[in-house]
Amino acid sequence: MHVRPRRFPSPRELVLRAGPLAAICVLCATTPADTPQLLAMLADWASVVVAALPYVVLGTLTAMTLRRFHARGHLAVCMLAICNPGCDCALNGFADALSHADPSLAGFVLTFAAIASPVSLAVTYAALGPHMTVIRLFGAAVAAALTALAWRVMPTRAMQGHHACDVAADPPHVLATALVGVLCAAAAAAAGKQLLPPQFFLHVSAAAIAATGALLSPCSTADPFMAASLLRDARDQAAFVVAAQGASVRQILLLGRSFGVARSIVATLSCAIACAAAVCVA
Amino acid sequence: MTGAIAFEPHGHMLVAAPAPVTACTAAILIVVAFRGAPARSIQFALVCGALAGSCVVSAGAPAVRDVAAHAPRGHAADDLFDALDALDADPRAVEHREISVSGTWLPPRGGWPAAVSRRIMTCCAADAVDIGFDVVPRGEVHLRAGSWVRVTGLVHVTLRDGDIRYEIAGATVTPP
Repeated sequence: MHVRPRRFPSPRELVLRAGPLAAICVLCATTPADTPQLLAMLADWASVVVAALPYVVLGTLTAMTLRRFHARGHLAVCMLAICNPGCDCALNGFADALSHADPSLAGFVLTFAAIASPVSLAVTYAALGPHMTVIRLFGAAVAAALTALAWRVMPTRAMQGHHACDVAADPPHVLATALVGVLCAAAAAAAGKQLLPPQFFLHVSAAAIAATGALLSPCSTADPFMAASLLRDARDQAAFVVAAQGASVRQILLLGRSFGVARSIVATLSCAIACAAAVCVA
Repeated sequence: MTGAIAFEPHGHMLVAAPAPVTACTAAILIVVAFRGAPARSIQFALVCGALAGSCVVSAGAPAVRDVAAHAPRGHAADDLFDALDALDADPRAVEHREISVSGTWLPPRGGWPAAVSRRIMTCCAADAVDIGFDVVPRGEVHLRAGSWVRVTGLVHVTLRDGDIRYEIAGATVTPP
């Protein structure tokens, strides 16, 4: 009987596994009781991660199931990514499934789905009304089209990243890489929320609001309510909702992981142009 | 950590998802992790995660920090949001009238007046927004921040930092 030798994890994997666990243990053991800001930051971080996990798991399992039964066809994956009933966190699984598809198609689908998923449009309609919902759709279409166009003309060797070969097909690896992005995005959102002064949004431009939205917004179902509560101007709200998912930390890490740093940067710039377009029509 | 938050009675304050959804996700992740890593490291990770989750839950959801004055559309019906909607629709019809609203108490802090608010949470505690009124009490109020109170007083419309804010002046603040 052939016994497959156990694969010893690489130093990088050991650091990725042991580092966060050690940090949590040290933090739990040494955090003084009178640090409300630090505890609030930790609670925010944990809430974002735990809230995202069901969608990450569901999206990953769905995409892997589709990939297994439609090994060469990406149409089903694309349609399900755009129409997925969950939030943008589910795209972590679809990104891996689309990493072998046509780059321009993958860029269009992942950008559009991040900004204008059905649930995010429904929540935008409920919180901000039909006009802002149309603007969000417009911003998503512009960002997706620009991303697809840019990725089509980029050279193939720009396709760096961890999925250049077929090694990332097992669920533990796919989930682990997806979770790394969620953990980093959650940390950025929690830190930004605690460090920004109150009434910050009253004194900044639409560009700064878009950048803040990309940093702060934890979920595509949350940014419409955040925009409705924190912002008064329709242009500021348009910039916030388009940038909050199209250029978020999670989206940048997702695209960088699956399609390379260069394509991730180009997609972020496309989203910035789409934000400007949305502000103009708002 | 996910499992600890799911099974803690106060864990629902950190995420909007029901506890069974969170618990099922935790179970799936544990099964997947056991398939992909040595059992000993998974056991260590489970202990650390449970410890971290318990610490996070015992700290609770972040306290009210600053209160916005405008309720978003599509909110659940209750006295505080209904009052804000009425003010947004026609401030003159409500200004200088007496209203009574219930919500979470926030004492004065950093130059800002006290406030009564309700939290809207769509996805998780990080995206939660506190919506409510500034409060100028009639006398001293010795209630802990986060207490559930009923505030009764006259509504005034004020301007602070270029933003319209609604204030309940001469207010009586009482536990329900």
